[in-house]
Parts: sequence; structure tokens; C-alpha cells
Amino acid sequence: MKFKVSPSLIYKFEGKLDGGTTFIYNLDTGSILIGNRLIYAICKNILEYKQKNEIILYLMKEYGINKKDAVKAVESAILNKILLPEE
Amino acid sequence: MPRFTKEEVAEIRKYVERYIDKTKKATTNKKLASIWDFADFIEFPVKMKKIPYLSGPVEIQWETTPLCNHRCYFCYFKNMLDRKDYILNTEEIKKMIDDAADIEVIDITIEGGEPFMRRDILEILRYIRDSTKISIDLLSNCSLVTKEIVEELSSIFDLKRDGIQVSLVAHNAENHMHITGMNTFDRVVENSARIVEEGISLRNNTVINKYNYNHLHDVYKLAVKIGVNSGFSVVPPFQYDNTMYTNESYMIESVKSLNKALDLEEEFKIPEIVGLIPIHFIPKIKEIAEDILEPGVGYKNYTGCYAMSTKMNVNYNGDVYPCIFLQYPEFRMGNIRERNIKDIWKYPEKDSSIFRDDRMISPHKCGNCEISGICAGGCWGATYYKFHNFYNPDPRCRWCGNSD
Repeated sequence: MKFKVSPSLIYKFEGKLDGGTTFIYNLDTGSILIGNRLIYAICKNILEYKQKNEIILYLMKEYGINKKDAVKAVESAILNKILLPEE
Repeated sequence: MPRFTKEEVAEIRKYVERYIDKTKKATTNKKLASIWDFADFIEFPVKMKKIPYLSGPVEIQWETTPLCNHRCYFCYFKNMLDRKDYILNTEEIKKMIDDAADIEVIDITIEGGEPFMRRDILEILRYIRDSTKISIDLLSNCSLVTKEIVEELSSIFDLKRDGIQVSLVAHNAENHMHITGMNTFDRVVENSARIVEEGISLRNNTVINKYNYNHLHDVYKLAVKIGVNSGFSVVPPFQYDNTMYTNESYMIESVKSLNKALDLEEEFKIPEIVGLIPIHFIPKIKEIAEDILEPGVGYKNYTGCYAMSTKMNVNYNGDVYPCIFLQYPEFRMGNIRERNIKDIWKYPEKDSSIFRDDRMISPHKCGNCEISGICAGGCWGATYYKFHNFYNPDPRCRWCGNSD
């Protein structure tokens, strides 16, 4: 299944706060979320539909992180409707 | 003790109790967050001194023009109305908006003068909406917002995040004329109602002044009649009009009137009253109502001013200042025609430590006050206007006994 960032998100990143904090607001649900720098990378860069594995690999390559952390970030983004599945 | 009668003291205590109740509800009763709550949320680490300032402003206040068709006697802008300064053109503004989006600004407050004195205002609003995610908060007297303009606004705005704030300064045409110098009351009411009919979020701001201080409940009734749907707010005047702070009877009559407005709010529910006279502006407040305040209410050591730490002001000619009330040469941080706002924010031309690193040690007296969580720590602009420093308290405050 492919995913891309929800168009209803507004976000702001603060690099100096707790090692990098992403503030996220969902216009549709009126909910506020907090994420780390990986969530910010997803919000900023996954603008077209991509396979889950592609997103994981992208995070591993760009941010030099292990697969476990990348999977955790992507699954968190899906769970919190930051990444939406292709309809 | 007080020069106030027993009845007046009872009115003040009743008001303070309701004020505190509202303050608590505002922070605990939220079911869904608005975009404004989101902006507040982002500011919170700065408010709580986890970091001295954000990497880019969460809000930009943009003064569109020095021109206005009203001449409100208390307006902070009135001395600028006849200026012949340069005014940013459409392309310069679009570039500013692009730069703001680039540094993830959440909200742009568009104010004046009167924004609809600009011929390109609709083009600019459309540009913001079509090319960025920045929320639009448009402040207007609404006298120039014709039926055609409202329809266009309706097509431009994202109703989930954009809105208008109208200045309802009086409850009738006569007082409106006294305050604004213009016979535009009917147009303001008619246009405001039309904005609501189109489903646009409309909030009211009423600056308390010598013509309306005892009619604030009547202004609330007018807001109900118009259908104001996004909050009713009264705003104490800045010190350009000091009447409110030197005449105690004005203040007590305002409190009485606001108690009536709060009664009406219980009846009508909408609009919700979201802005009141801060309790520390009320004379003798400490003697009358100190016992009402629970220990720990609010956040002690809460430095209330976020100028240049989470917000910035862009003047109509492109000059950048920390705040609309701090437009002094010593605080001119740059001009967006010369440098982009990201650079100005990062490398301001004037020393900004007072607004940033120094905030962490609370130089402003209000930041160390026990009710700073309720009053949000006082206005640094008001302090600077009066004292030309930031170390005195907000001169309008009657809590600490160090004010006017």
C-alpha cells in the first residue's frame, strides 16, 4: 500500500527543542500532535504516494538511522494519520 | 479602604470570580483545538523558558497600510495616518509571504490602518491561501467590505483556518460617529452580518473607550444580532487614551457592564466572551479580591511578552519591529525590502537579547508576579511607552502598586 502526507496538516519544526520537535496540527480533526525530526522529514518530503518500504529506506538513507527507528517513525505517522493510504 | 461602595465591591468580586472561571475553562474545556490554540501550543516552550525564542516566528503581524477611513480617537495608528512613507507593493508582499511560508509561520495577522484601503488586498489574500498553509487573521472595521467583497472572501478563505476580526466600537450610530468620526455604523453592521451569512468566522474586538465603557453589554447584544460566531472580545485601550486608567468610575462602570454581558452570554451562548478587562487593571483589585485567587493559579514566572521570541511585526513600509507597540528606531530589526524575514529573525540589526536570552531571567517585573499566569505577564510595549525601559511593570496594572 502506498502512503503520502495528509494535505490537512500544518506543521512547524524546532530543531533546538528536545533534539528536534515537530508541532503538527490536523485541520480536519482539530488535533495537535508532537513528533521528532523523523516525523518532520516525513511531513516535509513524502508529498507523493510512496510504498511504506520506500519511506523507511528514505529515512534510513537520509538520516543515517537503523531500520527499527525508521519503521517506528513510519508506523507512528500512519497511526496518527500523518501519512494517509492511497484510496 | 475603597472609595467604592459595597455594591461596587460586590460587582468587582463577581467579575473577578467569573474572570478566573473563564481563564480555567479556556485551558481545560477544549474538545478540539483551533489553529490559534495550535499557535499557542508552539509558543508554550518559550513561555515556559525551555528555549529563549523560536527558530522562526509563529505569527507575523503585517500592517497593510497607514491609511484608514475611520478616525478612532484612541487608535495607536492615528498619528501615522498622514504619513507619506513608502508602502510595500504587491510583489514585495508576495515575496514576504513566500519567505514566511519557508520558515513555517503559522498565522499572519493582517491589520492596518484598514486593510481594505489597499486595492490589492484580495489578490494578496488569495495568494496566501493558494500558495501557503499560513492562516489568515484579517482585522477590519468592515465598513468597506461590500457584498461583492464578502462573496470573494468566501471563495478565498479556508473556513477551517481563516477568519475576520471586526471592530465593533459602539452599539449605536451616534456613539459610533463620536468614536470613529464617520457615519458608517449601519454599513459595519450590515457587512458584518453578511460575512457571517457566508459562513466566515467572525470575531469582535471592542476597544473600551469613553463612549462605550458603560455600554459593553449593548455591544454584546449587537454582536448577538449580527451573529458574531467566533468570539466576543473587549480590549482595554493602550495608553494613548489614558482615561480608563485615571478615572476609576469608568473602570467600575465597565465592570458592571461586562457583568451584564456575561449574564447575556449565559443566555445566548454565542458569541462566547473570550476577552475581558484583565483583572489587574481594576483599581484596588488586590484589597478587594486577593482572597479569590487560589495559590498557584496561573504560572508564576511566566514572561508574557513574545515579541521577537515567537512573533514579529512588519510595518506597511517593510520595517520589522518586535511588536506593533514597540515601533521605535532602537528596535527596528531590519526591512524586508533589504533582507528576507528569515535573516532578519536570525540576525536582527538591533540587539534583541532583551526579547530573547534575557527573558530567561525575567527582567520584566511582571514576569515575577504571583498572578502572571492570569495576566500573561503584562505588556512590554505599554511599559516601554511609559518608562522607556522594560524593568518597570505594565503601567496599567493595579495589582503590584507600582503602576500609575
